[in-house]
Amino acid sequence: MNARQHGLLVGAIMILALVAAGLLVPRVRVAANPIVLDTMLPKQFGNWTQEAGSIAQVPADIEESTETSAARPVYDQVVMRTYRNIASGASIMLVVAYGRQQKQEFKIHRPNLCYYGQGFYVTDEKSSRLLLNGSTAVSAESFLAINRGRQEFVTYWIRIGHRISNDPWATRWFLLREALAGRVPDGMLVRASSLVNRVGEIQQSSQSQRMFLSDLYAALPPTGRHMLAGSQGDLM
Amino acid sequence: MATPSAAIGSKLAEPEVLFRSFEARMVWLPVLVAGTLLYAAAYLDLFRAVATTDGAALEPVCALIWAWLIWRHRYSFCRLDVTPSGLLLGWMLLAIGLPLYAVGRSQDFFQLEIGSQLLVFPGVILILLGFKGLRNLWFPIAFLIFLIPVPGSVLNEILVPLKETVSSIVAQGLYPLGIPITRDGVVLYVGNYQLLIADACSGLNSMIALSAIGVLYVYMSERRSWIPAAILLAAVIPIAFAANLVRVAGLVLVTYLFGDAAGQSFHDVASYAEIGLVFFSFFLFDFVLRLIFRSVDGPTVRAARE
Repeated sequence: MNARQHGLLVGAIMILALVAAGLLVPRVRVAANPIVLDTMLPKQFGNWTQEAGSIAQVPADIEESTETSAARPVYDQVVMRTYRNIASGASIMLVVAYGRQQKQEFKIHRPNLCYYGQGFYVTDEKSSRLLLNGSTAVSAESFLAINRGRQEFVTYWIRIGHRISNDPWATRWFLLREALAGRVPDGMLVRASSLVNRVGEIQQSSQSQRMFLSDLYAALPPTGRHMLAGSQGDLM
Repeated sequence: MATPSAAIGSKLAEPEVLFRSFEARMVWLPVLVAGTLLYAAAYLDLFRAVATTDGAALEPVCALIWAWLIWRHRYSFCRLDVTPSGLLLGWMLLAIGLPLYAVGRSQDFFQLEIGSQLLVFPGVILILLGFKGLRNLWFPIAFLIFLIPVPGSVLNEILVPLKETVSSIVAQGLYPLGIPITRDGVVLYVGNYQLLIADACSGLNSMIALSAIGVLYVYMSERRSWIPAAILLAAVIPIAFAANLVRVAGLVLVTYLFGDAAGQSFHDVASYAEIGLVFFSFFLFDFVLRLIFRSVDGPTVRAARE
């Protein structure tokens, strides 16, 4: 073969790669018809009841400027609420953020980065197993965010597709496998937090947040549970 | 026997070169058309995606520089040389690079999509120009690294400590001057104002931009001694970092002295001023280096080579 034939062959194979790329574009969205979060999440459940006039919350975006890139918002739905426990008086802030399409460079933001970006120091980052309703375990993350005049203890998890995402590289790999199978998974951030005044309150906040998340999960119908924590069998 | 740089200059008009260039054009035409189709779409998507973030001009500028580099090396593409070893390695690179492209393009995974060029481009060169071509064109190949966007996960790992350092140095530097400044992580408090050090204020973009230009400049200036070149390249990141510190400190001062609105307009101007400052410092440093290393790396040496 001479140079000219090699040139033609290279060109032809490049076109083939272009066609292959077109064929590999995933066409199935996992969540074709998502539930409306605002109605799905009960305003009252167990000992918890929604409080009006909630505390100012740290948004789920990394920077305020992200809002200017309105062409593609990361979240399709965001619910921010404050709940109070009737029995103990504990106050918990809840953020549930939902995105229908999770892609490599277009995913739910990790709350530690959101807090950091808003001027908090993020300390005490831990992962733990959180048992929801005594039946489903999710791998939850927690941290303490501190700035002047505000200390906030945060517990959260992120669901992407049917699994809980706690490792960025595992998540990328999962997204790639899903996408090559033709699926674009959805994603959800579930974040509970409360203000703490003393170091001693952290333990207590952590416990009431875990109880809160478990109670919330228990109060949901199966579809809602699925939305929050994915499918039971694939967890952990 | 022509040396690699000889064809660029006087030997252009020789019939043999003209003939070779005609033959080469026929060979490269399908590759050029297909390659453009492949990557034009990729770059359009990339530019659209980064257009919403600050420092968006970086990617297109690096792409333009690359296109210019290719134009500058256009005669190297006439030296067709199909060799068995070049074919073997070239097709191997294409066999890895093109599937990566297909996966990256279909999944909006820009790093794979754009990064596949680092395999596809040298692959094509090996097939058509052999190892000699690879040697002649090593710089345009290596320069492709600057075109790959930094992935979000890695970006955050760099940005977090960088923003922390910038805000810390600015706060500690201004406080002794009598400016009432304190900080909380990446938020600076000065007087009644609160300033957030955003990702764009980290200076990362100017660091990457100056690295690209710096590498290009060192390559173009054809230095004989590698020591001043290495010193110049090593200074790229510190220069960009320092220029960004000046910008952030200036922003804090203007806001403190003249209020929020003045600070905001300064912010917009300062991004451009920073680029100017960065390049001015860089070429000034280069000038100083030339003075110091004149004996080994002066203009006389360059003139003698040309």
